[in-house]
Amino acid sequence: MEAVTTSQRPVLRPLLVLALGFLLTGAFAQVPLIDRLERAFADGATDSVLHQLERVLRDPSGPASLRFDAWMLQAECWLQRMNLERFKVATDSAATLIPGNDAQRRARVEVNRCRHAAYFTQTARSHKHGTAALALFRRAPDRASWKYAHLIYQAQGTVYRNWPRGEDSAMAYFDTAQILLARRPELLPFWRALLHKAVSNAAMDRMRPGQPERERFAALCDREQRTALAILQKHHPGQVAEIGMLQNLRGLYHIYADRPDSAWLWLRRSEELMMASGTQDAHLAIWFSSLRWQTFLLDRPEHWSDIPLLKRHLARLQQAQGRFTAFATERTQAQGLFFQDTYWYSPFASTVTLCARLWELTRDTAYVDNALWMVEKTRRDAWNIAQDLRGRPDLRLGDPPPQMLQAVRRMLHDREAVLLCVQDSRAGYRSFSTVLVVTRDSVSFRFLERGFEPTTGSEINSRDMIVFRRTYHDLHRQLYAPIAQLLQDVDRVRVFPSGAMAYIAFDALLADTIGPDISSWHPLVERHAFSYPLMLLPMESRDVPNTGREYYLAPAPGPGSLTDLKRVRAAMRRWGGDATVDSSGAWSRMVGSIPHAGVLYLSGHGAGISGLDQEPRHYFGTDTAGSSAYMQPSDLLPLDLQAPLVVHLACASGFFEPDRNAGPISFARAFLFAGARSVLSTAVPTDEGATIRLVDLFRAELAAGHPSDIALQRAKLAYLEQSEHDEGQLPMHWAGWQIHGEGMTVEAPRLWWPWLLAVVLIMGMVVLWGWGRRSPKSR
Amino acid sequence: MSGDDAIQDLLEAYHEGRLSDADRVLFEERLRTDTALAERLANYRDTRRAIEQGFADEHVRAMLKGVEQRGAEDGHRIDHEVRSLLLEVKRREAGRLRRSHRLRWSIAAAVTGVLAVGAWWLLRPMELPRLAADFAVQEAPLPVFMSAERASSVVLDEVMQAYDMGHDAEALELLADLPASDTVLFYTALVHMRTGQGAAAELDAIIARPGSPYHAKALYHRMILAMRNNDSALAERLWRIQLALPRHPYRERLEALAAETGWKP
Repeated sequence: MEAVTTSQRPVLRPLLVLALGFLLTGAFAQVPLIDRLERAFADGATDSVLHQLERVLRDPSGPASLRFDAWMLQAECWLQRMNLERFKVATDSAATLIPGNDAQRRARVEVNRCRHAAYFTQTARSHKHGTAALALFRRAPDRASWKYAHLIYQAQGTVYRNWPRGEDSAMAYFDTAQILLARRPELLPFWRALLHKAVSNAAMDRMRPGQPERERFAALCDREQRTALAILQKHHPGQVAEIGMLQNLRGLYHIYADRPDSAWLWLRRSEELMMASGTQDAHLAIWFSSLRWQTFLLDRPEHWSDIPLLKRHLARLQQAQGRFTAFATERTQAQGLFFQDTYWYSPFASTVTLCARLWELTRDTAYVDNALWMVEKTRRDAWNIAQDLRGRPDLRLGDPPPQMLQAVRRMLHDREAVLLCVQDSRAGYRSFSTVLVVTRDSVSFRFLERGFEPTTGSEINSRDMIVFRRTYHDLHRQLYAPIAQLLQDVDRVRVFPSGAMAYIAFDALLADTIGPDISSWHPLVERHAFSYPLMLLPMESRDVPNTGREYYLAPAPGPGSLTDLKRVRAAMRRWGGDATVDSSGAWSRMVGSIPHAGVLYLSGHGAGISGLDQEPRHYFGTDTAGSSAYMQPSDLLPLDLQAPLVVHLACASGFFEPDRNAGPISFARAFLFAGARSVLSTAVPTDEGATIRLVDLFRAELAAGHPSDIALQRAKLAYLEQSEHDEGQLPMHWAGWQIHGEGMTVEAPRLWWPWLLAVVLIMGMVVLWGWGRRSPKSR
Repeated sequence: MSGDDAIQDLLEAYHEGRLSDADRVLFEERLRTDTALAERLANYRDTRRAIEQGFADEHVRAMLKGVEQRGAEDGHRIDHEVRSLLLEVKRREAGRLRRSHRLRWSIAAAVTGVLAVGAWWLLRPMELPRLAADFAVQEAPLPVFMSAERASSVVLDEVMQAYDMGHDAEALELLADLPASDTVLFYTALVHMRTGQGAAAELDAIIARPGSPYHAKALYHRMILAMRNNDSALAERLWRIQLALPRHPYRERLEALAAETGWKP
C-alpha cells in the first residue's frame, strides 16, 4: 500500500474528521431514541413504544448496546402490563447481548430476574438474583455512573417485603434507592413514582389484618400512594396503566383500613378509567384486579345478603371471564401453563364464591350451573391454550353447555360423584373455600369454615405420624364429614381441586384417630376410589382401546451425581422384559418411542422447587449435567401421545405448584395436554422401594380388569395391609399417588398375530384338502 | 297243663316271690334234693336276668315269646331253643363287655396322653433361639428418594438398595466407606445379624446413646441377639428396659413375647 504523503494530509484530515463525526453522530443518535421511547413509555404510549422497539429489534445489524436497551425497555413495558411471560423473554434476550465484563448490564438483568421472581413471591429466587445484582454494583469501580442503580435497591427492598420480619431491611433498601435516585436528576419522575409505589406496597403488606404495627404502616402506605399518584398525575398524566393500578391499590388500602365506601370509590374510579382509556385490552389485568378486590367488599355484613348487589357483581365477573379467556390465550406460554401467581386476578375463584353465596340465599340451581360452568370453562381454556401451543388448534374445545348440572349428571355413572373444591384466597383476609358435590340425584354446595387452610394438606409429606394424623383428621372433619352422608353410596369420586385445595390427598383423610395404626384410623381410601380428571365433561368415551404395547423408560445407569435407581430399573425389566425397556436416558430416543406407547412407564429423579424454579424437571439418570439430562413439562407439549395410561415414577411427578384456576401444575398435566388419557403420579417425594411395591400391586389390579382409579384404590389398601410398621405406612409412600385424568380400564393390546396364524393354518388346510382331492386323479 | 309247664310256673312264681311261705319252703327243700330242678332254676334265672337287664333284642324277645307260646306243644324243643337263645345272649353280652372294656381303656389312655402332652407343654424348657427367630424384625431400609433436589448421600442410598436386595456383602462394603453414625452402626448390625455374625458391639454403641433415633430398635435387636445366644438373663433385662420406654415401635411384640416367656415387668 502506498504511503500517504505529507501534502495529502491537509485534505484527508477534514475528511477523516467528517467521517468520524458522521459515525459518532449515527451512534449517538441511537441513544436519544431509547431515551425518547422511555419518555413515551412513561407517558403511557406503551403500544407505540412496543411497536418502535420491535422495529429496532428486527434489525439484527444494530449495535448490541442498542438492542440490549431495547430489550430492557420492552421488558419494562411487559412488566407494567403484568405480562410476566414476555417480561422474562425480553430479559433473557437482553442477557444474551451482554459482553462478559459489563457489570452494569449484568446487574440490570439480575434485577429483572429478581423482580420476576418477586412477582411470583418466589422469595428464595428473587433474593438470589437481587443479591447478585447488589454484589455487582458494590464491586463496580464506576458504580457512581450507573443510571438505574436505584432499581437494584428497590428490587432488594421488594424482596424483603415478602420476608418475614423483613420490614426494616426493606425500608433500608428503599431509603438507599431514594438517595441514589435523587442523585440522578436526569431520570424521569416516572421512576420516582414507581419507587413510591413499591414502598407503599411493602407498607400495605404490614397493614393487613393481624399485623403488629398496622397504624404506622397504614400512614406510610397512605403517604407513599398519594405521592406516587401526585407525581404521575403531574408529570405523566397519560400513564393510565400506573394511575389505574395505583387507584386500585388505593382501594385495597381503604379495604385494609376498614373504609369500605372509600374503597368502592377508588376501585370504581379505576374501573371507569380503564373503560374510558379505550385501550382496555392492554389494561385488562387492572380491570380484573379491580373486580377481584371489589369482591372483597361483598362479604361485609351489609352486602353479604344483598341479592341484587351480589347478582350484579356476579354478572360483571362473568363478563370479565369472557375477556379473560382471550387475554390469557394471547399471553400464556408453555412454561407452566397458568403458573400459580400469573393470573391471580382471574375472575374464576370470586365467581364460584359468589355462586355459592347466591345458592345459599336463593337455592336457585342456576348458580350451581354457573359454578360448574366456570370450572369447566377455565379448564377448557387451559386445554385450548395448550393445544394452540402444541400447534393442534383442531383439538380446541368450545364453551361448555349452560345447563352444566344436567350435563354432569348425564355423564355420571352409577355410584359415582363429582367433587369440586375451590379456594378463593383473599390477600391477607381469611380465604373462602367452597365444596360442591354432585351425584346423580343430589347436590350440595357449601362454604367450609372461613379460614379453612387447605395448605395443611401438604402434611402428607410429614414423617411424623402424629402430625399427619391430627392434620388429616381435621381436614376430614371440616371437608368431608359434612358431605359424608351424600357420598355414602358412592364408590368413585372425580375430584376437581383448585388453588391450595390441590395439596389435599383425599385418600388419606382420616375418619378416626383412635387406634395404633393407619388401618384403625379409617382413611378415606377405604370408602372411595378417587381420580383427578382434567375436565368435568370427558372429551371422549372413558374407556379407549389400548393400541400400543407397554413401554418402559427406565433410569439410566452411570457415574453421575444422583443415585442410580437400580431397583426400579430391575423392576421395569421384570414388568416388561428387556425388549420394551429403554434405559439409555437419551431424550432423542424417547421422543421417538413415547408417542407409540400403549402404556408408558417413565422413571427417574424428580426435581424443581416451587418458589425457586419455573418448571419441574425429570432427570433420566444419574447425570445432572446439561439440558439433555432432563426434561420439563413444556418439552412434552409437542409430542402426540396415544397412551391410555402413563405411569410416572419420580418424586413429585404429579405436583409442582398449585394453580388458582385449576388442578396443580405438573408433569401429569403436561402428559394429559399432550394426549395421554390418564396418568399415575405422586404429589410428594417418593421412596424407590415403596414405589415398586405399590406399582406391583397396581399392575396386578389393573391386569384383573379394574379401571385405573379403582386399581389404585385396591393397590393402596393391599399396600397398607402388607405394611405392618409405621415407616411403611407413612402417607408419602401411598397417599401421594393419584390418578390424573380419567380413571379407565386399560386393556391389554389386541394381538394380531394369533389371527394371522389362524388364517394361515386354515388356508394351509384348504390347500392340503384340495391337493388331496386332486392327487388320486393324477395317479 | 303238662308237668313241665307246672314246673315252669313254679320256677317263675318262686323267682318272682309269689309263692306262699309254705310252698317256698317246700320248693327250696325240693331244690336241695333235685339237681335237675336246681339246674333248671339256674337256667331260668339266667334267662330272666338277661331279659331283665334289658337286653334289647326284639328278635330274641319275639322268639322267646314264640317259644313260650309253643311251649305247650313241644317241651323238649322249647327247652333246646331256650338254651340256644340263652347261649346267644351270653355270647353277645360277653362281646359287649369286651368292647366296653376296650373303650374304657382307650379313654383312659387318651386322657393320660393329653395330660402328659399338656404337662410337657407347660413344663418344657424355654427355647429362646426359637423365639428369637419368631420375634425377629426385618427392618425396612431407609427411603431412597427419587429426587434430584433432596440432599441425599448416594453411598447411603446404595447401601439401602443393597440391604433391600439382600446383597449383604456389598452393603457391608459400602457401609464401611461411610463415616461412623448411628445409621451406619444400626444397618451394619442388621446385616451382621442377617448373616449370622456378631452385632453386639454396634448395637451396644447405639444403646449407649439414649438420644439416638435408633435407641429403641437397637435395644430390641440386642434382645433378639441375646435370645438367639440363649442368654436368658440379658434378654429379660433388655426386655424390661424396653418396656419402660414411653414410645416403643415394637411394644406389641414385647407384650407378646412376655406371654411366651412368662417374663413379668
